[in-house]
Amino acid sequence: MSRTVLGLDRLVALLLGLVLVAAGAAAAAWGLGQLTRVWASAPQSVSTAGAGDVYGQSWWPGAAAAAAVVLALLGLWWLFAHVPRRSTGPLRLAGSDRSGALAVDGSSAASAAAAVLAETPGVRSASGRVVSDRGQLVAEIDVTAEPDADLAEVAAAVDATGAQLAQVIGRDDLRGRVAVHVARRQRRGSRVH
Amino acid sequence: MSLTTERPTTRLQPAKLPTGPGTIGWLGPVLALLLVGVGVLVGQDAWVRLRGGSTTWLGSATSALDGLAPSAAVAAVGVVVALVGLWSVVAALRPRTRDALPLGGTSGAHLRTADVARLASAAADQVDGVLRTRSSAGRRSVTVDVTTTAARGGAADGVADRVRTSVEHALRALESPPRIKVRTTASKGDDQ
Repeated sequence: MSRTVLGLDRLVALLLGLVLVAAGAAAAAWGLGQLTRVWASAPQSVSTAGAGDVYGQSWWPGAAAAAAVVLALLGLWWLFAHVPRRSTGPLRLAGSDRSGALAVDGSSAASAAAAVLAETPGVRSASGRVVSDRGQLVAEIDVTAEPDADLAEVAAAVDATGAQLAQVIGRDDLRGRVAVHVARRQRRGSRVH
Repeated sequence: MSLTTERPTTRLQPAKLPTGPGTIGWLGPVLALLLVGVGVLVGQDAWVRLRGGSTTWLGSATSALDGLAPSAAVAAVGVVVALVGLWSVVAALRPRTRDALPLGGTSGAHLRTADVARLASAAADQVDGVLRTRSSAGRRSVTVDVTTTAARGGAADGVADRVRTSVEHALRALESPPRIKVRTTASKGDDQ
């Protein structure tokens, strides 16, 4: 999800919230007969005659159809904009020029790094990929550790493997994010007494 | 592609810690769906009227409101609408949730608070005298509830100390290890 979409979400939620607060407060005051204190000519009852007149105009169905298409398309675009698109293609390496481009498949490298990490004692499994996240090129590795794993040992393995990955990919702008998940239950036979 | 075991000279710089979207993470898509819903409502009105009809959802809703007079029910609905609006404003302004704790090191490794609680429980489970464990964790502190075989008093305090040491040891690799609180309960039958 991009920052633009998140910003739009917040802006619309804020504006809608403010409108609802104002409308709700006005309705509550009107319901209790207090609205005339601030609005002397507040109506005694709701009249929707104006809306009925609009529905009867010859231009209304066409305008409503156009508005419906625009609203539905906007809504669908907004909805699908929430689907994350974070994949990256092959990563271009330093040394690329007109005579040829050097590229590396970042996700394959991150996958290989995850496989190395999965060999660490106390680590049950690991998977890796390279993604584009909030403007950063990020090697994301998910590690699932046993509940009794030695965290210091896992941290040391993550550092060593991360450094190797940085060397393999060879891009200064690569960042690392290793999510260490802890399994809910100990795998049978993995504990040494 | 394979990774060698040579000592590397470069280091992988850590990315920003992940954050959760909070309420706005699901409120945004719901608002988008609502916008599609409004489009459908207006579209149904246009569709029916273009075909010569006059009974539409929008028209029926408008007619239902006609002649509405002030009442306690209207006031109650107004209060509910205002509260929903207030909640929406708070959701829009609330910062993203943070529940990741960085591991010491340079590669951007982190655990979420739920995983820290599982590690704490596993560490407490290994202590002699502990029957059952339940832990909850925030970014600053971990609370470990243990049911012990020991009755209350000196023996239970000893178990609590050993649990604290074990959990501290298990979480020592975190960049800022959280404060550890241990609460002991004597197992029924041993509690005299």
